[in-house]
Amino acid sequence: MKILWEFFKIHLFSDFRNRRSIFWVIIFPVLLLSLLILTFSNLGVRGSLNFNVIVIDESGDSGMIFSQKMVDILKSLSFPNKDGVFNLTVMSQGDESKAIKSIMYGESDLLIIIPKNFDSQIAREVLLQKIGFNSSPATVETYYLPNRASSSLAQGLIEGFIGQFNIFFAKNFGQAVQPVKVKNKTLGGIIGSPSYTDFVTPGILVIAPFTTGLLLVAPKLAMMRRNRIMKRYNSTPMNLLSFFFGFTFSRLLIMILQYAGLALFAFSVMKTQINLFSPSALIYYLFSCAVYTAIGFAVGYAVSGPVAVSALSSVVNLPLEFLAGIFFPLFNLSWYIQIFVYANPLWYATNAMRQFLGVSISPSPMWMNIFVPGLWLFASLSFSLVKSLNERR
Amino acid sequence: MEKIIEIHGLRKYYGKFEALKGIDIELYRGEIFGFLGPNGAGKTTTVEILEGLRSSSNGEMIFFGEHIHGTIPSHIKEKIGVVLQETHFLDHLKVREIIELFASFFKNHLSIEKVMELVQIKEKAGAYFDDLSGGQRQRVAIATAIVNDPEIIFLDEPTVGLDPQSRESIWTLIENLKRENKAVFLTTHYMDEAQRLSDRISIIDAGKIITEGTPFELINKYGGKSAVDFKCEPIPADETLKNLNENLSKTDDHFRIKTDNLTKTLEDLVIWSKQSNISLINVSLVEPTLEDVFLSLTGRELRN
Amino acid sequence: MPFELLRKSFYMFIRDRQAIIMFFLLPIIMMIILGFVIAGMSGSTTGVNVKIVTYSDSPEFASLISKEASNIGLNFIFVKTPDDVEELLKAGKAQMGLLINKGVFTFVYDQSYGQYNNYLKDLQDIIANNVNEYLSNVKSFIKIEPIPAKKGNLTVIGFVVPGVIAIAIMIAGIFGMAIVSGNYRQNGVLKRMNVTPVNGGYFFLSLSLIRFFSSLLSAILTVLISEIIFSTGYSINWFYFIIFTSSGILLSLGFGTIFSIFSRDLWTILNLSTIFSIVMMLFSNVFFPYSIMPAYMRIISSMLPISYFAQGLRYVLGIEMMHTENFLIISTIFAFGGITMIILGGHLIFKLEKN
Repeated sequence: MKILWEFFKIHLFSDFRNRRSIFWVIIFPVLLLSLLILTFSNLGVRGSLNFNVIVIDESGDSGMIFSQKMVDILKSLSFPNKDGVFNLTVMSQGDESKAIKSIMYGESDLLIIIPKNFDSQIAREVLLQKIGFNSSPATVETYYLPNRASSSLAQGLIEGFIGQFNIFFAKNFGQAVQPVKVKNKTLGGIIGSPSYTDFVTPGILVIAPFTTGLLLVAPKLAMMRRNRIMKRYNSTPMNLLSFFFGFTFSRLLIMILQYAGLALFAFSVMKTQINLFSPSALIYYLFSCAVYTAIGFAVGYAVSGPVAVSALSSVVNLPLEFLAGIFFPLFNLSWYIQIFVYANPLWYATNAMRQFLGVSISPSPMWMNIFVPGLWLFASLSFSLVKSLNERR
Repeated sequence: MEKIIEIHGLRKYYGKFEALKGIDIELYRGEIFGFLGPNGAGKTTTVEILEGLRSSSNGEMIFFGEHIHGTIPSHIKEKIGVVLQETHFLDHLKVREIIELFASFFKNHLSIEKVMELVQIKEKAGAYFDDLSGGQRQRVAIATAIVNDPEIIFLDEPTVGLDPQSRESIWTLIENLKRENKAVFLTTHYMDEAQRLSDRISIIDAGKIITEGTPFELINKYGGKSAVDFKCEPIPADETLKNLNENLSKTDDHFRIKTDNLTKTLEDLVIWSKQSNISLINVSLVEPTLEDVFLSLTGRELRN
Repeated sequence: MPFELLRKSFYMFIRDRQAIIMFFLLPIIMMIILGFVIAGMSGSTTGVNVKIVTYSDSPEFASLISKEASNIGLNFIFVKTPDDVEELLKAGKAQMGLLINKGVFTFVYDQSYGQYNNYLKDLQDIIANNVNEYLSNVKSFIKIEPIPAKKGNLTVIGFVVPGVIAIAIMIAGIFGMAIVSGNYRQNGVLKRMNVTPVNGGYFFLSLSLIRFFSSLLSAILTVLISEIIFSTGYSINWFYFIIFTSSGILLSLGFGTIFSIFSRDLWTILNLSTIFSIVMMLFSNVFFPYSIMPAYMRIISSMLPISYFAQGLRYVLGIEMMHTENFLIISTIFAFGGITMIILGGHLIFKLEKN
């Protein structure tokens, strides 16, 4: 017991005195969380939509106001108006090719052309409708690039706004418009209206111990093996289990501190609403910590040099995190990528943590969330054990 | 003297390869035992079995009168201290913390203060291991080996890479251990170190002990002849040299005569110089060393 | 001597498994993973296409919706029960759900879509407007005729993948260079080089050169593999591609060199590179278009070279157009900036090793 305590203590000391450990344990997760929230929490909200739209009114001075009205409505939907979504540039007739070029070069997202006969067509239509004849609506041309997300989104928005134009015209001609009742429902949202902060925090709570498991276990173990520290321990009557548990518990403590620190940060600075003190989340977190420590052991035994471990793991980290759906949800993956997702212990952990922290229901069944990481735990421990016994022969 | 370790017919197989082909070693209390051998001779395997890092395949091992099979059990390890070659410890740990950690491994141990005093590292107790000099690091390594007040201490290349002063002070430490009636098992590549410290020496080659004895005995037996080295002024013609000695050899302007009878050879040399009117300069006597013993026995340089 | 240095750099590189993985495997793996993740989010690999799974209790509404759908470019999938709506949504077969019950429209979102729901909520208003229009018998005065400004194989994935390749190449370059120079600093190799007449800038240039060629080779491989996997249908201008990719690689090698100025500890250098890479990935316009970013992000994004690297890569792959002068300016700045950073960085690191 005393030996276990000594190992626990010195491994904590050696990490807390180490700048690089402090970076990976504390600074990195906090920074990542802040960056992600800074990036995504405002992405796509009304105030941040900003499409570059060009409008060309070719209807000329026909003496009627419909085309002018159309431009005015577009202007009202543009900056600097509140809730604007467009950056509107009004170009004059004849600039059409210049405008199309601007779309092609990605400088603008959409070109709207109000055609020559627009006013007369609308006038004709109003007339025909009044006397009860059917008519065809006036056509507005839009130029866009279907494969550019920006352009395509702007095109979609304009299509939608046409309804608004029509209602506007209808109201202008004295027609009453009854709005339908619209409601919202968020699927899988356990708390009221989860923000991106709530979405991403459980994932950060997975990344943090995983990074610790990888970078504070594997390189350290590789270093101790290479420098024959493990041999030196073995030459004493000390039981290897004392080392194993002392070292592991020190990692667990660091991971628990990470949870506390991140929770505090997410709660006080980032104002998350998730249920940070859910007992099942805490228990699952401890389980994940055990899994990542075991993976760290396996990696530490599998490779020889501490530099190789640290360099590779800091690079392998990112793809694994993407394939866990931590930053973005995972949809429509092809089967060979899906395999990696299904094998990725981080995916299950993220799913489970989201459910336990009250963000969203796990897309994978809960028993899988325990079983697959459990397999990793078992495989990693077996591998490490076999390796360590082999070294003593 | 009390026999602490007795090894008979120790064998070790790695697959089909027989690394140790029946080794016999005896170690007594209060002696420094030097264990020498070229690389790949089975030296490390032997030492690691004795340190409890590997198991033996076959053979009799008796530690403190107790028969042991396979791997050294923990209660024996309680009485063993080990210094591995070029010891490293965890980063960012202080000297005292390292010694405390090792102390915790043993049921009984000396006080940390006393250990630090013994190895003269007390003034560095609060320093980080990474910041110590080579000699200081080696003292810490020795501290971790004697913290359990062991009866046997294994030292593997204790002075590799150290400056002369540090070597001297580590040697003094080792001699102090002997004075305290400990048994010291020393493996080294430095023949001067082995010659100076060891009471008895065994040389292993190709998995077998090829000889054993005190340094003096070994040198007498295998070291070959003494020699007289000298230069001449002016350099004599070959005709003149002919009459001097049949064992004369010449390298550039440097002459050597190997001999069993040093007094006679010296007399002859002086007479010859007077007769031929050639003055002798840089005359020196060359005694055989352990290095010569080693070379003549294994046919290999120690550091290959 | 210059040739000897190059030759040795080459041997050291090809014998270094870690470097090979970093330069060859990493970009390809990153391209595949990120390509799928981003394309998956856009709903399809062929176009930005919002699929709405809908349940309606009245067939009248259903037919109305289908009619309107063609107008507003949405894809409605009709199902038989409200439960099916949730199921399809959860399975990622649609991005939004709609339940029409007794004249009440309930829009269903999937929480795991996160920030993407912001955009969908705008769509909700549009759909509601269109339904209003119909219910109140508002006649269509105006209709829209969308015209693609460019013909040909226009897929979203083809647009996204060049950005992803840009990220992969840059990360590989930065890490690859940072690791080797960090390692050399930490192990005192540079100190040893310092006592020879070798010039620091020159030494780093020779280290970069071999990495440059392998990175270029790996970029070509990555593009070809992406064509196979995603059927992106590029029309590649190979001459421009080589020029532009080379300049981007030089720049990333330059960044890697600069990062190793800051510390002698390999880990610290890796930390710096990691932070830079993450900022670069998140704030670039590769994952999300400028037009849905908040203003501060747009500013940061426009300052990051990765945004321009991605843009240029789309150009040379025939995905997007670009003014030739912009292309030349970007390539020149990247190449000169990169080489300057390598030479100056190497020089400075050697100088630091002296003190």
